Amino acid sequence: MLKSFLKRPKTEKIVLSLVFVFFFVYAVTIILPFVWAFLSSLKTDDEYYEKVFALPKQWLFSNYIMAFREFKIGATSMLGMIGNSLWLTFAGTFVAVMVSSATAYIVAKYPFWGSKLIYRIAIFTMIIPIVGNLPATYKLVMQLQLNNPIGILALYAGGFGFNFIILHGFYRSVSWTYAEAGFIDGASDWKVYWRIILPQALPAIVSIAILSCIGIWNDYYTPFLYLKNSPTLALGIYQFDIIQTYRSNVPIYYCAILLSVLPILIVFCCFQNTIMENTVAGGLKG
Amino acid sequence: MKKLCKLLSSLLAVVFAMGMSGCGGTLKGVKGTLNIASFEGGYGSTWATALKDAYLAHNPEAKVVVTCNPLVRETAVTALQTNMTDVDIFFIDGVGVGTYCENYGSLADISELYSLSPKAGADEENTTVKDKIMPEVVSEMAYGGDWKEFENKYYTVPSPSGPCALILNTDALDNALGKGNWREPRTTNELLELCGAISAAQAKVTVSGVKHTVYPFIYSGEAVEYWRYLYYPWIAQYGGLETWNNMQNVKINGEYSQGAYRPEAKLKAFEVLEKIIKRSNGYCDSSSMNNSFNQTQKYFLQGRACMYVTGDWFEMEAENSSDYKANIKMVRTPVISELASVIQSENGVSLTDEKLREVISAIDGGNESADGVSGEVFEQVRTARSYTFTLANSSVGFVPEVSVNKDMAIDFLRFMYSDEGIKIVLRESRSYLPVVNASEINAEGELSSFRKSVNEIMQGDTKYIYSSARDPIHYRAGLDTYVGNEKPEVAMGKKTGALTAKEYFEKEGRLLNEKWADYMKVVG
Amino acid sequence: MKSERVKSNFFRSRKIRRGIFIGAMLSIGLIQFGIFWVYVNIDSILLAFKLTTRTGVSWGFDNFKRFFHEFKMPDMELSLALTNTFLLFLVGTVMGLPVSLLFAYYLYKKVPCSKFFRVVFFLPSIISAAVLVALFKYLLAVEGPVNTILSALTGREVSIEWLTDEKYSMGTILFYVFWTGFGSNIVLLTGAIHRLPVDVLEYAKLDGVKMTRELVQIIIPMIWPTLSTLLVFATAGLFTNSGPILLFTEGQYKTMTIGYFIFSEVQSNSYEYPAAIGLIFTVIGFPLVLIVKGVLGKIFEDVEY
Repeated sequence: MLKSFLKRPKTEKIVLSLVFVFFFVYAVTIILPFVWAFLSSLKTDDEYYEKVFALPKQWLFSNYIMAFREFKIGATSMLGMIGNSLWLTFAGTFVAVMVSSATAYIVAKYPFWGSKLIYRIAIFTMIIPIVGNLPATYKLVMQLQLNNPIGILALYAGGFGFNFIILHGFYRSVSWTYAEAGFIDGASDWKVYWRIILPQALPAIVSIAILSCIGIWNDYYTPFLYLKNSPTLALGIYQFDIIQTYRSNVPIYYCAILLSVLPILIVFCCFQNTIMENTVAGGLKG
Repeated sequence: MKKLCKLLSSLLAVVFAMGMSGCGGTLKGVKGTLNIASFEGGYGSTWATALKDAYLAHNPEAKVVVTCNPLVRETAVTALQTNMTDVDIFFIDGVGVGTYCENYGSLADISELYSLSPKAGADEENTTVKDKIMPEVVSEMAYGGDWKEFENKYYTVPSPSGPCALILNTDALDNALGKGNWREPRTTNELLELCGAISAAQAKVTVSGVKHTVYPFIYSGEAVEYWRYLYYPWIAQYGGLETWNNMQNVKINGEYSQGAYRPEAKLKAFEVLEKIIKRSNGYCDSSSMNNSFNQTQKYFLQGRACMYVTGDWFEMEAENSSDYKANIKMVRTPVISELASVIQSENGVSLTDEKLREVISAIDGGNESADGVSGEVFEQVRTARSYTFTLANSSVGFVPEVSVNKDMAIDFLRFMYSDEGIKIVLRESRSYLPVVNASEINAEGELSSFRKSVNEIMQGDTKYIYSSARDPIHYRAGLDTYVGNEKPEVAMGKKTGALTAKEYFEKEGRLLNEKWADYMKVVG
Repeated sequence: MKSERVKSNFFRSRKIRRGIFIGAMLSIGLIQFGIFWVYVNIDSILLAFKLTTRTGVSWGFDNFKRFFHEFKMPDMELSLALTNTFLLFLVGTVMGLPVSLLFAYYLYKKVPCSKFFRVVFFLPSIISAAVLVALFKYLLAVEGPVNTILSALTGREVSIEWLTDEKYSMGTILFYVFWTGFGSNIVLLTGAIHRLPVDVLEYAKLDGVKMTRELVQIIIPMIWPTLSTLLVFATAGLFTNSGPILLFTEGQYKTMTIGYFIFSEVQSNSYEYPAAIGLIFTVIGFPLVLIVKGVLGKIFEDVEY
C-alpha cells in the first residue's frame, strides 16, 4: 500500500497526507468513545462513576460473562438471539433489496404510463408521517398468520421505500448499451436484468444491503411485536436498557452493547474487502 | 455471479413457499389457564409470582402462569390497542382507562370484583374489595369520561405503589451540619433554611479520593417530574383537596374552567419550587440537570447531596447499588409555609412559621391540640400535613376485554386483596397496595430503617393525592401536564433564560387561554 | 409486405412479453404496498380529519385549524421548532453530504489505511442511536471528559452544560448530527464511485487531470443521480425526521423540532391532532421535494455509462 502511495505525483501525495491527518483525527474521535466504553465495561459500577479517565483497577472480564448470562429473554440466550438476529437480518435484507431492486429497475428503465406516478407515490410515502397505524398492521399480521420468522419477511418486502429511491437513482445512470446489445442478441428482459443489469448494479445493491442490514439488526420493535418466540439481539438490548433505569450496573450494560455490536462489525470487516474488490471487478466485466 | 443469483433466487422461492405455510397464529388465551403478565420495574419481579404460589396453595386445582419482565408494558399497550392477547391480567403503570375504553373498548368491566369480598381460601367476612382500598384511589379505578356506556364501571385495580416524597440522607446531613444540629424540615421555610445552612456549611465528602461539595438537593435531568412529588402536595396543602381535584379535572362545580387549572395554590407551590431549583440559589448539585437516574441515585447515596425526591421503590433500586450503606429515610412532605396566610384570611389568626412548625410537631407527636391555636386551625394544619403524593392510581392491574378467563382473573384479584395477599405483596415488593388498613398489616421479617420510615407515613394520618388524567380534557383533548413545550421544573431550573415561578405561571395561563376553545370543542 | 407482418407480430409478442415482465417485476412490491401501506394506513390518514367529541365523532378540518392556531402562539415556540428543523437539515445534509462525498472520494483514492478508515467511519452507523447518544452524553457531562480536557487546555475550570444550557444545547445536537452522520452516506457514495467505469478515470489520469478536477468534473457529474437522490431523500424526511431530540433533550432547552413535536403529540394518547400536523407538512413537503428534484435534475443531465 505504501509503495503505491509513493508512486503518486507529488501534489497528490501532499493532499493525501493532509487528508490522512484529518481522517486520523476524525477516526480518533470516533474510536475513543468506544475504547472508553470498553474500558468502562471492565470496571465495577462504583469505579465507573469515580474517575472519568482512570483505567480499571481490576480488569473485570467477568463482567462479560455476567452480561452474557443476564442477557436473556425468556428461555432464549444471547447465542439464540444472535441466531435469530442473523436470520432476520439477512433474510429480511435479501427480500427488501430484491423487491426494491425489481421495482426501481422497472420504474427507472421501462417508462410506462404509471411509472412517474409510482415514483411520486414513493416520495409521498416518505414524507407523510404515519401515526396510529399499529393496531391495523398488528391485526393484519396476526390474521395472515405472518407472526413467524418467515412470514414476517412480508413486512420487509416493501418495494417503495428508501431502498427504492436510492436504487432508482442508480438504475437511471446504468448504461443501456449493454442491455440493447443483449436484446439484439435475443435475450429476454429477464435475462438482461439478471445477467447484465444486476451485476452492474451490484455495488449499489451492496451498499443498500449494508444499510438495510443495520436497520433490521437494530430494529427491536418488529421482533418484539411479532416474533415472541424468537427474540433478537436488538430486543435484548432494549430490555437491558429498561432494566438500566432501576437496576444500575452500567459496566455490564456496556458489555452487553459491545457484545451486540461485535457480530455486525465482524461481518462488515470481513465482507468489506470481498464486497468492494469483487464488485469493482464485476463492474468492469459488465 | 450467475451461480450466486441462482442460489439467491431459489432461496427466495423457498422462503416464500415456507412463508405461506408458516406456523404463526392468532393470539388467544387458553380457557382454564390464568395467564398473568406483570411489568418488572422498580418494585421487582417476584411479587406476582409469590402471589401465584400462595394462590395455588389455596386452589390446588387452578392453573396459573406468571410472566414478569421489563417488556410487559409494551405488550400491554399493544394488547389494549389491538384487542389481541392471550394474557388475562396485566399489571403495569400508566394505563389511561378513558382512552382505551372509548377508542378501543379493550378493558373488561371488573365492577363485580369491587362488590365481592377478598378471599384467601375462605371469604373475608363483612368487607369487600372496595371497602379495603383507599376510597380516593377507588374512584380513580372507574372510567372518568363522559360517554354513557362506560359510566360508573370499574376497569382497573391498584397494584403495589407507595408514597412518593422527600428522602433524606441522614449521614450526609450529619456530615454537613453535625450530628444533632439539624432536624427534619416541617415547613417549606424550614426546608429552605435547611438548604441555606447546608449550602453555607460548604461541607465536603470524599468519594474514592475525590472531594465533593455536599449540596442540599440533587435530582436527575432525566426525571425532573419527580419534583411533582413535592409541589403537588403543596398545591393541595395551600388550596385544599377540592382545589386540587378541581385542578386535576379542570372543573369547578362540574363546569370546565381555566381558573380551576391555575389556582393561586399552584403559583405558591411554584414559588417554593423555584427557590429550591433556581441556579443562583445553588441549592441543587449543579450537575443535576445533566445527570442520569443512576448517577443521581449513586451521588445521593454517596452523600454528595442531603435530599432527594422520589418514591418508595427507591430502596429496591438502591439495594442493587453497592453504595447502599447510607442511612436514608423518607419524611412527610413539608407543609407549605404560605398556609399561614390562608389561615390568616380564613380564620383571622396570624401564625408565624415558628408556630406552624410547633403545631406540626404536635400533630406528628400524636397530640390532639397545640398550645395557642384553635381546634379549627389545628385541624386545618393536620389536614395539610396528611397530603402525600402517590402514583397508586396509575399503577394498576386490568383484565383485557378479550380474556377468556375473566372469572378466574377476578378470583385471583380477590386473593390479591385478602390480608394474606397484601402481606405477600408487601414482603416481596417492599410496598403496599393502597389499602385502608395498612396500619394493621406488617410484613414478616426485619424491616429496614427506610422501610420503617415509609411505613410510618403509610400507616399514619395520610391522605393520598395523585395526578389524574381521567378527565377527557386530558386524554381526548390532549391537555398535558405541561400546557406548553417546556416543563416547569426545566423552565425554572435551567441555567440560561430561566423563568421565575410567576413568569411560568403566566405563560401557562396565556397558553391555556389560547388553546381553550380547541379543548372545549372536544369535551364541552 | 410479408416481412412487415412478421415484424409487427414480433413486436406484439415482444410487447406482451415485456408487459408480463413489467407486471411480474412490480407485482411483489405493489401487492406489499397495497396491503401493508395503503390498506393499513388509510385509516391513519383519515384520522387527520376526525375529531372525537363527547357526542361522538365529527369530520372536518378542526385539527388543521388547531395547528395553525397553535403555530401563531409565541409561547409555543413552533417557529423556533421550524427553524431548528431547517438547521438540522442544513447541517446534516447541506453541509454533511459534501463532506461525506469528500470522505468517500479520498477513501476511493486509497488514502493510506483507507480500509481501516472505512470501518471506523462506519462505526457510528452500526450501533443503535440510543447507545451512541448515551456515550455522547457521558462524554459531555458537566464533570465529563470533554470539560475535563477543556479545563486542562484553558487552565481554568470549565463546567459547560452542553445539553442543558440553551446557549449550547442546539449547537451540541447539530454538532452530533454532523459528526456522526457521515457513515451511511459514505457507504452509499463509495458504492456509487466504485461503480464508475475504471477506464474513464484511467484516461483522466493519463491526461494528468488533478484530483480536484477529477472530483468536480468527472466523479460528481457521474454519480450525480446518487447525490441528488440522497438530497431528495433528505428533503423528504425534513419534517418527519425528529433526529436525536428525544434521546438528548426531549425538546427542552430550545431544541424543539417539527418532527419531535409530532412525536410528542402522538405520545399524549390521541392520534387525530398529530395526524393532521403530519398531513400539513406533507402538503408543504411534497412540492418542496419535487422542486428540489427538478432543480437538481437540471444541474446535470443524467449520464448513462
